[in-house]
Amino acid sequence: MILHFAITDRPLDLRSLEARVSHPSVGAMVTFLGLVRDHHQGRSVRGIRYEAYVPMAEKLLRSLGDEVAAAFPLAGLAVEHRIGELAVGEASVAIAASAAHRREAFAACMRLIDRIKEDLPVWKLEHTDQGDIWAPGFSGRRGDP
Amino acid sequence: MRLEVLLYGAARTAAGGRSSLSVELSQGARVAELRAALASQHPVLARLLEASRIAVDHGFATDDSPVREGAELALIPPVSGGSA
Repeated sequence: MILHFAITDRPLDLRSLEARVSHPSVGAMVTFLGLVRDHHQGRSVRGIRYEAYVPMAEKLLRSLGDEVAAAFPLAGLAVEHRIGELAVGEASVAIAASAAHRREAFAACMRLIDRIKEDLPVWKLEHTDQGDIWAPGFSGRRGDP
Repeated sequence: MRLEVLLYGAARTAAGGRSSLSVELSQGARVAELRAALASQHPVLARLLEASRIAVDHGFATDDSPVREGAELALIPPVSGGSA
C-alpha cells in the first residue's frame, strides 16, 4: 500500500498526489480538492487563513489515513492539507485514493475527508466583509451538528 | 504543579492573542481538573472550553486521562479543517 500524508504551507498539486498513488494494479482513482469559496453563512469571504497545531495534525493525519487504509482494499492513499493564507479558489486539502475498483476508491476518499473534518486540529479564520471570523467546527463533544 | 496549555484558533483570540496560558494544578490531576482549573483561572476561556477538546502529547485526551508534569497540553477548539 502506498501512503502519503503531509501538512504544508505550499500550494497543493493534485497531479503529484495522483502520481504517488498510481500503480499497474489500479483500476480506479478518486481525487478530491477542497477549495476556498467566496461565501459562508451569508457572508462574503475574501480569503481564509488556515492554522494548524502542526505536530499533532501531522500525527493525526497519518493515523486517520492508516484508519481509512485499513478499512478499504486500496492500492494507495495520499492526502495533503495546506495551511497559511489562501485566496478564494485555492485548494486547502487534496486527496487521491486508488484501488483496483471504483467503489473502494470513492468510499475511502469520502471517509477520509469526513474524518479530517471531525478530528484534524486545523482552524480557519475567514476574512469576510464583516471582519475576521473563526469558522464554527466540530468539537467532538456534545451538541455537534 | 504549573503547566502551560497551548492555545489555537478561537481560544488564542479569546486569550488576547497569547499562544499559551499557564495553569496551576495539583499533582495527580486529570484532564477534568485541568478543564476546571483553566475555566476558573482564565474565565475568558470558560465558554469556549465547553466545546473544546484537550490534547495531551499530540493525542485527544478524555476527562479521566492523567496530566503529568512535562506533558504537552493543548486546548483544541472546534476544528474546521478540510473544506465544505
